[in-house]
Amino acid sequence: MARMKFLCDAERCIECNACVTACKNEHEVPWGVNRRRVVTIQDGKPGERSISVACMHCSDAPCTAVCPVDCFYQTEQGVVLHSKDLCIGCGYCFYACPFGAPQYPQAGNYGSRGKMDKCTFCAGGPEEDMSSLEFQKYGRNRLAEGKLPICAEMCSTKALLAGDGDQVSNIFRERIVARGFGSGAWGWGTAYSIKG
Amino acid sequence: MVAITRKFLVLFALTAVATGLSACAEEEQNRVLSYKKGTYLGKTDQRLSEDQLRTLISRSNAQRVY
Amino acid sequence: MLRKKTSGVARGPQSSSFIGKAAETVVDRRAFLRGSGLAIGGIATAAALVGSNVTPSQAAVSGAKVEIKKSVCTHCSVGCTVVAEVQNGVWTGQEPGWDSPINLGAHCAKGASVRETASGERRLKYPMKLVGGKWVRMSWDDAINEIGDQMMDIRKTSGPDSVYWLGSAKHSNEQAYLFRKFYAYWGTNNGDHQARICHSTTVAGVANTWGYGAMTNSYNDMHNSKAIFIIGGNPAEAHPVSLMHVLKAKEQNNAPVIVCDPRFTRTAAHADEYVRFRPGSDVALIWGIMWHIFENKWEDKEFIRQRVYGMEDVGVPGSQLKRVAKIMANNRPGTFVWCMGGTQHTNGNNNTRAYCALQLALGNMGTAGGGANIFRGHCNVQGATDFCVLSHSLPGYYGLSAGAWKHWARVWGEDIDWLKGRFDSIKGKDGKSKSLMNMKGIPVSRWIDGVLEDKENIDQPDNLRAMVFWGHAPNSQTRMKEMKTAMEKLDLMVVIDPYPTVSAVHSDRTDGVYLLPATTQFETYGSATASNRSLQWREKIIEPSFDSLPDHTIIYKFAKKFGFADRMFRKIKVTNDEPLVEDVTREFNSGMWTIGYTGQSPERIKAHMANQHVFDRTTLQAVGGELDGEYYGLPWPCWGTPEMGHPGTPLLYDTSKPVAEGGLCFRARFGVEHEGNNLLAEGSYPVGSEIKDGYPEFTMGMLKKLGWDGDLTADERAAIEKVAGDKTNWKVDLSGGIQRVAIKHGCAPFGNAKARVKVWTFPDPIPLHREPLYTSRRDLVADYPTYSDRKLYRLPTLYKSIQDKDYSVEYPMILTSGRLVEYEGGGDETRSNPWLAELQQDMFVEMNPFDANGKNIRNGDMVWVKTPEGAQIKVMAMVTERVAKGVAFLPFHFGGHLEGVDQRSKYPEGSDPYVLGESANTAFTYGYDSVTLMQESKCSLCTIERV
Repeated sequence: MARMKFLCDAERCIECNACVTACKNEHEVPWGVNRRRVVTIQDGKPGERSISVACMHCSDAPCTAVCPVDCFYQTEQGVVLHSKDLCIGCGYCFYACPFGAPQYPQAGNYGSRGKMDKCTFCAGGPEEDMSSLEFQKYGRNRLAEGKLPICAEMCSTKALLAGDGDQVSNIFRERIVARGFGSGAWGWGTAYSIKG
Repeated sequence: MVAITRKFLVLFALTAVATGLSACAEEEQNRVLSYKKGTYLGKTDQRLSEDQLRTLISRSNAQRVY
Repeated sequence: MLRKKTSGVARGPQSSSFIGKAAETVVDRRAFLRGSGLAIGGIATAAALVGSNVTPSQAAVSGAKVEIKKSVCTHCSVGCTVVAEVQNGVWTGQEPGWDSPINLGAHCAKGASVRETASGERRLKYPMKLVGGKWVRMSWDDAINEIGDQMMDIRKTSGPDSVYWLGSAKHSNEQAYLFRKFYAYWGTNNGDHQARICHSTTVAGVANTWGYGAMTNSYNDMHNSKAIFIIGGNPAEAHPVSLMHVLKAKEQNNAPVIVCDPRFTRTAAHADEYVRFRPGSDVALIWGIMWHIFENKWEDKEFIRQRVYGMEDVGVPGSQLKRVAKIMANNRPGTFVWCMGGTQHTNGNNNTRAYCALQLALGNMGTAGGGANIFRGHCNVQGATDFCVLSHSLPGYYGLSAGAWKHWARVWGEDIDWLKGRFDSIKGKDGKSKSLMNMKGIPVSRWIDGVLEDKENIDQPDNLRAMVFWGHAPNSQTRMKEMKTAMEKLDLMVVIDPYPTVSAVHSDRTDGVYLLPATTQFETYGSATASNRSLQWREKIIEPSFDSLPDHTIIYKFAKKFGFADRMFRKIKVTNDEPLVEDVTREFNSGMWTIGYTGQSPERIKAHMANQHVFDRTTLQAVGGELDGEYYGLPWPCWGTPEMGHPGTPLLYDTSKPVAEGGLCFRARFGVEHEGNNLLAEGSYPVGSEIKDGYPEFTMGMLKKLGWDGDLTADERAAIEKVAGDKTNWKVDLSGGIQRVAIKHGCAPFGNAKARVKVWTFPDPIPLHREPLYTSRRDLVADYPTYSDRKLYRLPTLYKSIQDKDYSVEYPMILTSGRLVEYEGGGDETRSNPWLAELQQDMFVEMNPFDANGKNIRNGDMVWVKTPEGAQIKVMAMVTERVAKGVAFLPFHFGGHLEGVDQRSKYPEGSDPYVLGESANTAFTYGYDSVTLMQESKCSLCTIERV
């Protein structure tokens, strides 16, 4: 059984933002909403590293636990999805999320920021797979088309990997062996309770 | 008296527990209490076929290019 | 639990989480620049739900059949394959191009968002003209007629040289070729394109070192590198997908990555060794490294003896440099990458030749994993350069000599006397009349001076009076204040582009400006040449948007208006004013013998595109199948006719393979001897060569002497006789017979010689360090002065008279410029793409905390950057250690603000880019390379003050 995961290799990420625009392009994400972002630490100094961050689709997702209307669920492949019909835009998930993934279309206070939007691992939402309703609310459902998330598939340096967790960590491990050093897969402890 | 009171108390406690427990039933709360992968609000989500999963796994592997 | 949010952009709120920490403690470029996400740049408030604004892709998402079209990204020169999904004629999605051996599915931010380029809302939609300060829509026919009449008027009164044809690095090969041919038919050499201001010094420097002015190896070949040396280049932002190949070598070969740059770039962040140096001191740096190499006898003596001329003349003046030298010496072959940081200088040609010298000393040339890997900047700047959309040559670098014109007239089937009659002439110093046909035109970097300079000082009959900006961003050029004056002085301005560009708003003209909408390359088809010399074929993804037309159609319409369409297109089929692209390819195939653009027929390129998966991802060679042995995209030189089946040349000057299989030696281009020394190779030759030594370039006479002329067919022999008998050489033989026979005997048609470190025809035969015109190091001016003032390319050009004056007190900081990953070139296209524009919303200047604190400037403050020629720009301060003390950096993609004034209202309605900003080049100053007139935009002086 495949368990879908993201992995960002900080040694490879060059902050080119292909993942960000590929996501925008694929799902027609409007200005101001960023399902995926690239974060740079030590910007402009030795030790500068970048990491591409979106919803990590945690095993034990904090967003799911705090949602007052239970709009979240996890697919059989471990992808955390939510229903925009149920979402009330309260913002609890945003504060619970260790990765800052949930996004809102409007700035504002409780209840006035619109339905939450986040990375779907290109797996759509609760609606009928590949229906136009699903596309309107959540963007394309690539998994149902047999494709992986576009951000990873288009990554310029193959820093961002997505797909079956075992395969992805194998690829990463091979790289660490080639490099002779490794710092672990970023965020995997928090997301999947695993030291990558 | 004491015995009756105790019996009454036990009965009361049991009733309370039963009421409490019944109040926790999913139907009454109208909410999900335990999350099961692949189910959404009690319904089974549309599943990916074996074929789709195989493609996805081979595509995961294809990221090995460099 | 809820905190007040101050901005609409969600940011990680948990300070205990990693992101939260990063966001709070670190100012990264984007967090810093990203303002409130909504309602910026005139964008409408975002829709409440993702995708709830009805888009073409949504409309087409269900039901309609998906067609797959393959094209090539139109941004940098890596040549990433774009796979488009088309439904009902609408481009609905982009998929990774896995099969492409060049990008293996990868894209950068720009490539991943090109769908918007073709389908975007902010395009220039209709032909328009400026009437009384207002844009008025018009028809194509009216536009062509009005513009054409005015141009013919100018031609009559001032001569053909008063109209300037400024072409593009975004043309396809076919369009570039037609464009070059077009202004030849118009009767001028006043045409040029971006290459002048990006890699002209490379092309001149490198071609004069070993024969061809192009990237010698390929991006993929860097997999074989044991060391990677990058100077004056930031591929992580300018060529992101190339980093995939660099990082592979770094990880799998343990290849050290050395980055030399004044700025700690995103590339430097991934380097093992970062060398910071002062802008403009490249030659000194390279000579320093070379000193250690020779001092320690690390040079490749055998290679130098056999294949290099003039190395002993490199007089090198005497902890980190030694380490760098040692790394390069111990890790061979190493590749050497450079970009604009090396080329855009008054002594740019010196820099590029110094780089070559280092690679020659190490023996890193002509080998897999080595080479001079010059990353070109635009998607087809290599092709447009090869077709010489330039002011100093005919296609294929044939030059402008009588012989060159004769060759092309023969290819075109044109009457040479008719062509001659199209050109004007001037009186030379000797009083004799000289045809301007054989004189270099004004380069794009100097068109401003062509307008403003006193006409007595220009070597042509009159000033420039009409400018055609055909796919050119004016804000990629320095001295923009003077440019504004020049634009206002012109009689006529014509902009032909998918976007209005800064040209539409830069001047205060109220009349005499025309905007003609051109298609992007996604709405037409044809070939393009990537940096590694591979040709790729683009399919048409969608029909032209709005009223736009492809460049070749517009060229045809003008040719028709000027009355030479029948002559110019006599070998090309034309339907509804659109020339057949494949016929154009075949026409240039029949003439581009010098650099081997002859073997790449449309059929062959298309076959490569359709079978991308059969090519090896390191060697680029096809394994098995019908294309077995061929190299991806038939990298030029692909010798002989298509029928000859040459596989292309993946690595230039690689003697380990026979010429017939893509091997080569250095070109014999500079004669056979110099000052009594042999210039031909000694004991070095491509495998399988029947001549086991150096030899000059092939002619019919030479074939006869060798007794190989018997291998020619009767047809070939007849064709050769017709050209010039025994004197016919490999470049002008239209049958390809001489090339075929030379290669049959294992020889390179262009001869086998040594590379030269000494270019005796250049101002500095051995590359010298020369201080920039606006230098901060006045103490070095006496020892390393610039050139004397001189006349170049028809125009007076200043050097010493500028350097003589000391500006360093009033303007103490060094100013340099460069690229950002989200934008490209002048940025009109990318700033009109909301997915990219959102990521980079403000023009900024990077300055060191030391300098900022000294001026009481804080991160995010608005500042004035002032430069010595009196320009100032208002930008945001980005305080960072990325730049050294005393250095300021400007990205050059912004436009639409001028000295603090927003010009948005001047754009045609609905065609203004989402993001506007000050152009770096408003601030940049005078200064041009001594060989090519490349502009100096990497080193000037400035002062920065708080607004």
